[in-house]
Amino acid sequence: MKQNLEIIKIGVFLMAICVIASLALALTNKTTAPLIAEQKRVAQEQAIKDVLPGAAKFDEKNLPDGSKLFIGKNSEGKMIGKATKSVRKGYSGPISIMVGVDPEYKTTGIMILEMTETPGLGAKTKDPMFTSQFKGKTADQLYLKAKDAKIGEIDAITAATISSKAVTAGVREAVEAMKNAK
Amino acid sequence: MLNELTKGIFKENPLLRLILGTCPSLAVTSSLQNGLGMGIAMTFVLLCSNILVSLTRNIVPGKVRIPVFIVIIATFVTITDLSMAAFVPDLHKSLGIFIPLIVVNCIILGRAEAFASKNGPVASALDAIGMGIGYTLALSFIGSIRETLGNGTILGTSLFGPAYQPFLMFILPAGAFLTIGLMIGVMNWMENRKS
Repeated sequence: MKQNLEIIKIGVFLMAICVIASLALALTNKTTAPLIAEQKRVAQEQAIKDVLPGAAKFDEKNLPDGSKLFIGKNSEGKMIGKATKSVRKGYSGPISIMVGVDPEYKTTGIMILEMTETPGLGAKTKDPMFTSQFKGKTADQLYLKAKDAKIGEIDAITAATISSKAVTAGVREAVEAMKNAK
Repeated sequence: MLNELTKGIFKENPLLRLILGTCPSLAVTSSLQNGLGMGIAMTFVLLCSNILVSLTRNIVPGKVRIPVFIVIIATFVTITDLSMAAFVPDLHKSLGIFIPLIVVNCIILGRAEAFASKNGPVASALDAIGMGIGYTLALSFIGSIRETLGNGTILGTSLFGPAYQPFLMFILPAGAFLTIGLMIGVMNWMENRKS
């Protein structure tokens, strides 16, 4: 009997600790959630501005596959390009890329948002040395110069063909998705 | 009292003498910035959890102390994670992946069990700061070695110019095992020589 009582006492104690911890977490979440959502929105807007130089504001549209299309307009309200996010499997995980195009569907810029590629090899795909090649390309040119299904105009990174291929394909898919959405 | 602060830096360095927390250490020390960031975030959580565990040491029943420690540590880590994301987003972005890793860092549970649950809050706070400094120093040192050799940079600045061909292995997992192993060896050798 005495032992049972002790088990109940310990159980109630643990429950109390967990209730306090949950309250603290709920309170923290409630205060920080709107702030975090705002930070995410600002970061996304910054990424769109980086890939669509000159855009002052954006209209959001949903693409049929569920992803979002951002239509960038300059300060006079003229459409200067579109941007969308594409996710493609890389060497060690998904690579998500923000891609911008001008009204002729030539790329204006790309930005790698998230990736887990090997440091020193695949991770170099986010360096300007690699990403700057994507400026002014049409979907047909968005293949690697060698080792790809078609001959394109992108130089792969030495010893990181899989990552280079994944980024190139991701950009190409994004451009095609935006083209098909018009 | 001063001993509680200094013991963690060399004599009982959590990573190189107690061999605790090696898993996150292997993963994050690919650069000096990462090592430093992980060390500082870990020190903050260790300090909070050590103080709280020490303050509650007389009311927590001995049989369930470990689950209670884990709840306390996990709560602090989550609060730290969410608050940093909301108020210092830039810092959170560079440290983001390490903060959830702190939960699995056994140094924190180890200090709660071995020290804070038996000592007063002031001694526990000093213990946490000392252990935190020791861990941060070890991580930073390993991070600098790996970044210098494996990438030719320190804090992102190039050291040897573009002609330098980096030992890529050092920023990959094998380099982490080699560097930490050699450092533990050096620490043991110094300790043996003293005695």
